[in-house]
Amino acid sequence: MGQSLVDVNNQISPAASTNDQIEKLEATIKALQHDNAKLQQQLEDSTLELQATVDEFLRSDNERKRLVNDIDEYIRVDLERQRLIKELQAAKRLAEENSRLKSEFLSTMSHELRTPMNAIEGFTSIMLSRMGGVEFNEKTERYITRVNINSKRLLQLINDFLDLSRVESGRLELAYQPFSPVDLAKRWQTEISILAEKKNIDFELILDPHLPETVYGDEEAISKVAINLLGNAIKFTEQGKVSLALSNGGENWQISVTDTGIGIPPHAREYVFEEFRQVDQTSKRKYGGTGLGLAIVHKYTRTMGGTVTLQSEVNIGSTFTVTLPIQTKHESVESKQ
Amino acid sequence: MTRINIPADLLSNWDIVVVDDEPDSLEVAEIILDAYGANVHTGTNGAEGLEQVRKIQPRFIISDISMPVMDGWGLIHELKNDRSLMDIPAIALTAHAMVGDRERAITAGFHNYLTKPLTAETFIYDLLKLLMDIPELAEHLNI
Repeated sequence: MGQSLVDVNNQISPAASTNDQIEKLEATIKALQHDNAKLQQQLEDSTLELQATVDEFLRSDNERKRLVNDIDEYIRVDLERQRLIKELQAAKRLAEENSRLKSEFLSTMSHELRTPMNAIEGFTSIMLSRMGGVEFNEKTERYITRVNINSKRLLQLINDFLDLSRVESGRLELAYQPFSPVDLAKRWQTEISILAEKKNIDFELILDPHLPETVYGDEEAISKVAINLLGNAIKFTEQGKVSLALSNGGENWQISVTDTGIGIPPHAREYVFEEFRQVDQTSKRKYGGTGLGLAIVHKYTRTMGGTVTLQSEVNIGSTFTVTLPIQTKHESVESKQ
Repeated sequence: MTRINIPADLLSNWDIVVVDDEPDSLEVAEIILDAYGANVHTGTNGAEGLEQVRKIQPRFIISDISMPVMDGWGLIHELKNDRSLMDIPAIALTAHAMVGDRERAITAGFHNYLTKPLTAETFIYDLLKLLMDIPELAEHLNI
């Protein structure tokens, strides 16, 4: 950088003329000016270069700061995410625990309620059968009969209530097994004919010849639905007949229960499937029952992936039709609650 | 479907072991089986039941499922793992609507199940239906 600089003192000789000296000085000044301009330029260049370097530095520093911020943000989000996961896991554990407790409560309650009822029913039935050498007079027999009948009613209510709680809490476990719908219907017939005979009502079983020989389903749950409908039909019919029809609907099969009973007025058709609802309170007193039967029918059918419909005419009769999917192999039906 | 159709000596001199932790339930079963001529031996849990079964070598066993000390599952497991006891038919007593228990009872080795409550009207009738399915017992029934 310093090679073109002129040493002013060395260049001026004492012997030279004034003009020469002036010329030399002018040349020197020119050279100096030139050098100065060059230096100025170099300085400007360097300044620019420095500025660029500084800018670059500032820019990359900003970039670094931005990255640091990004990382901080990422860490914050990750911590938040971990916190949320923990919260969700805790909520899931709590829900599972609640569900387990609810199920445990149901099973404990059901055991605790039934145990004394079983004893009452067992011992009164023993007395009425005169087993174990018991003796009593006619009046006592009448009273024991009342205790026995009422214990049966209470046990039925407890069982209905627990069946309903089980299906409502999603605790109804369906056991899918192959079975013959015809054999099952004949078993219902055996059970229901006894009730029909007692009331002098005819019972008719109508079987579609095209019914599948075997379907997959939970016999216990299907029987609960059918027996409830058949029991109701008998209960609300004073004369005439109750018929049970099984038919094949292609992808479905149907269980229809028709009676010649009192019928259900249009306004009541909307709520008869609700818990503790009968057509009215008078009917409840007159016909008895827990008022849970149709709620059980409705919920069990729905859980099995089926539907239940009602056609009725007051004083003519009612038909309840349960439509269930035909399952020819093991498929689980998602609960549609 | 009542006792009228079933002779009172149906189970005459049969040794039967009944296992249940509920004393009332046990007594109801005992009175009814006794009314049909059976010699009833009882246990209040699976361990007591097993002891009775070893001692008596009964015609068949009726056992509750849920019991303290050793439950019905423990009892059937012990029975099925003992050559001298494995052929004695065992019937499970299950609570209403415990559908899962019923399937499990059969899988575990119980011959079949009966559902509580046991009553004079239905117990012997339901039991008879189950016993008819067991050839070695059916031939000895007094009917």
